Amino acid sequence: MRSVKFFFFCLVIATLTACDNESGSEKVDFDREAFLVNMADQVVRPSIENFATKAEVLTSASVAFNEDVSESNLSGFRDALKATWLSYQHLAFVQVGPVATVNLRDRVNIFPTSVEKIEENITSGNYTLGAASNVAAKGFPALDYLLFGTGISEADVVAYFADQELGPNRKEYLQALVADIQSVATSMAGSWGDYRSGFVENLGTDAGSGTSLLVNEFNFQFDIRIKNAKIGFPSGGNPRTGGILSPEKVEAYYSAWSGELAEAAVKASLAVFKGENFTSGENGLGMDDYLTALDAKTRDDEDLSTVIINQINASLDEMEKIDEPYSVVASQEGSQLVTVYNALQAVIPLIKVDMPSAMSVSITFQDNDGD
Amino acid sequence: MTVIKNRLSYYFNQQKHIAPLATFRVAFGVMMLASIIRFWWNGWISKQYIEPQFFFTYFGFDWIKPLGDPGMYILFTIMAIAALGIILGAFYRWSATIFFITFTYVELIDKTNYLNHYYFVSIIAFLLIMVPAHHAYSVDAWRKPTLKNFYVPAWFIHIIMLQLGMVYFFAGIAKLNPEWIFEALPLKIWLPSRADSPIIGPLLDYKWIAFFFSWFGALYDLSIPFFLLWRKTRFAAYITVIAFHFMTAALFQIGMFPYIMVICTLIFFSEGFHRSLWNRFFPEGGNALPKPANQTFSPVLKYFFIIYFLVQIILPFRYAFYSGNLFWTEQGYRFSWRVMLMEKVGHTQFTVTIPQENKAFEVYPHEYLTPVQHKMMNTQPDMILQFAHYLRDKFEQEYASNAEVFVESYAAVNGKGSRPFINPEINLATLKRGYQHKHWILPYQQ
Repeated sequence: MRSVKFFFFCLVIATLTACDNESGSEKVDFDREAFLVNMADQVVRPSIENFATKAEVLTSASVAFNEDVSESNLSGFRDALKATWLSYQHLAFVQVGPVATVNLRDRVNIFPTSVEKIEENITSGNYTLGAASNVAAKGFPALDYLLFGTGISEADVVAYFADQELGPNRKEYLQALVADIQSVATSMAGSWGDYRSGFVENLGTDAGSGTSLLVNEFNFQFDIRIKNAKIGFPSGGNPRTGGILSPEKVEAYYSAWSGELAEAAVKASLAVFKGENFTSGENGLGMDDYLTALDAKTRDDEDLSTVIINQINASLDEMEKIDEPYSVVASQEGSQLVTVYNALQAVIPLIKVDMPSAMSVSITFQDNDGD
Repeated sequence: MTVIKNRLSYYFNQQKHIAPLATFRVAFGVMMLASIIRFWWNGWISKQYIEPQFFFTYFGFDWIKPLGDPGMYILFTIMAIAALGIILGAFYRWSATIFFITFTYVELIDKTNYLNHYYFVSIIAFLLIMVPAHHAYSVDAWRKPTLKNFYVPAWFIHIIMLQLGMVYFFAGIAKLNPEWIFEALPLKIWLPSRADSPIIGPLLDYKWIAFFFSWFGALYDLSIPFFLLWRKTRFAAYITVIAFHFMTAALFQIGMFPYIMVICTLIFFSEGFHRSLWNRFFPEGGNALPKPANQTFSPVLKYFFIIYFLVQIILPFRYAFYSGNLFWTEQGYRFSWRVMLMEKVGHTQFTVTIPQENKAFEVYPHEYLTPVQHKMMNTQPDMILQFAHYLRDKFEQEYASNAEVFVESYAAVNGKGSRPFINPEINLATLKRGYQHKHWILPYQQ
């Protein structure tokens, strides 16, 4: 018995020694449920609803244009497209639940769009938009081409759709594209409610948990779809792809909204990161607050949230200096877009290494014994 | 001297009842069979060994290839039958050998899936091949009565205890690093992420809990083999084993390992304990006496095991032959019982250039690798190099021209902030794989 007591004595001593540390009473003070509830109710849901509202306007505009192919209806159609496209920039950061089910990013915003494929579909009148071969022939970039790229002036575009021979096919394709976006919007808005309860209940960081999904989707959108697709590829921003300028690869090449869309996207990244209320812009519990509660620091021992926010703002500053459409800017060697690219690139290790590391988010259910 | 020699000789060669070994055989076999069924059930055979288009082989074992569908399923079926053979003690040497070969083969296919506990299973299976755990309480003994023997030389039991003890002890030594002891890292990062766990969840947000777990874990690993060996502390120690492993099972995604350890450590219990266990089912063994002129320690086996355990002792320290931070470079990290020791996250951005055509491509690893492969590669330099070579071969084939591969990468260890990882200026395509020092890993910047 004495030995048993000695064994436990050792354990108790070890415990006490361990407790005798100045940081002993500190804790991670963060309401994970309130965080997920805020993200669900003030960030994701209103963003889905906003997108759905914009999509409905887009649908009516498309119907009006179809009934009466006129310059004024074209102008209304273009405005509706821009509003929906801008709304998308926020929603794309929170591709979770129903937004992931419809695979929003790939479904509505693959660019550069394939003019060849679009024209082929129009001519044949025989296509399935859901087919893998049509990913670059639908969504906003395809509408961008049809409403802007088919003519120089508005009259030219109207003439394109009023064409005796192919006009009906072209209008029909336009309708199909808008219907596809509308069905995505309807589906997301209809199923968010059911998804929400599971989302806010799983407070862990396992694969499939709300926190894990939010972080991973945020990172994917920021790195692959903004830094690379919107900025890096067109401008040859990646130092190793230097010399290869592809201005035709910008988002919204024909309408020249590339700058506005990209800025909206980077602003949205800040809003989502901070957990800002979508409608009021009021700051709520976001990823930044979680990192602060975890006392996450950069390698220079600075507050990680602050550094991320500052670096994203620095990128925005660089973007705001650009007035011309990105397609024009990207055609110059070593352009301002390369500066933007580098500013965004500086965010990547912070959000893809420091942030998931501090939160300990998993991506898999596979067994793991700690690297 | 002769006294010591005699005592040693007695310690190794005394005849001991086979019951502890038989229990171990059955228990280990049952855990293996359960693991195989679980692995299959979870769809992991396909996910880990059929679906990936690329596999991170071990250097020197590139000839080990996945067997596809249905090959992998057949392999797992054979493995399961062999596990059953171990449980029943049926065609035991063959069963143990086949289990060892099939299990190890699967583990060598892709280092992405490396786990210390898989390594543990491989070496226990290897030891079991040499141990006559089937001489009683087995189909073989029933089939061939001449084989039946309720006594074995003690060392057959002691080598398994030694191996188990070493696993714990080295895991404990690995925890004796400043970050584990003085900063409670990585548990300080991991535990709060489990604050949704039932009952103890809310406690996990407290920093003292991370310190408590770190210290307790280190002390546990270092001391548990000795407390298990000592008769007087054994019972309390085993209760601790159960508590410790069930706690880790609840908190971490570590699969079957905790249960395997709980079951395996039963071998530390006395002959009497195991005998009474078996007597309930097979009373005849209870009164059996040792046969005269039983097997002793054959010199070949003796020297083999001396070398084997020397290697086991040296392997965990081989990192000392490399310069640089072990957690950063991971040179000599695997096969060293470093379990749950660091939180590491990385990011890689690959660029392939075809100089002759003046072309450059940024490559997304997620288009070639599974999410787990991608995550593992991001933090492990040898895997980054392997993937770079895979890209080189792919692009050289496609363009029939030389390809260069560069990577811009960052990694963070124990939440201390990301740092540049691999030298981005180095063309990985021309580097050789192997055990030589990886000079192309950037030094860990303080």
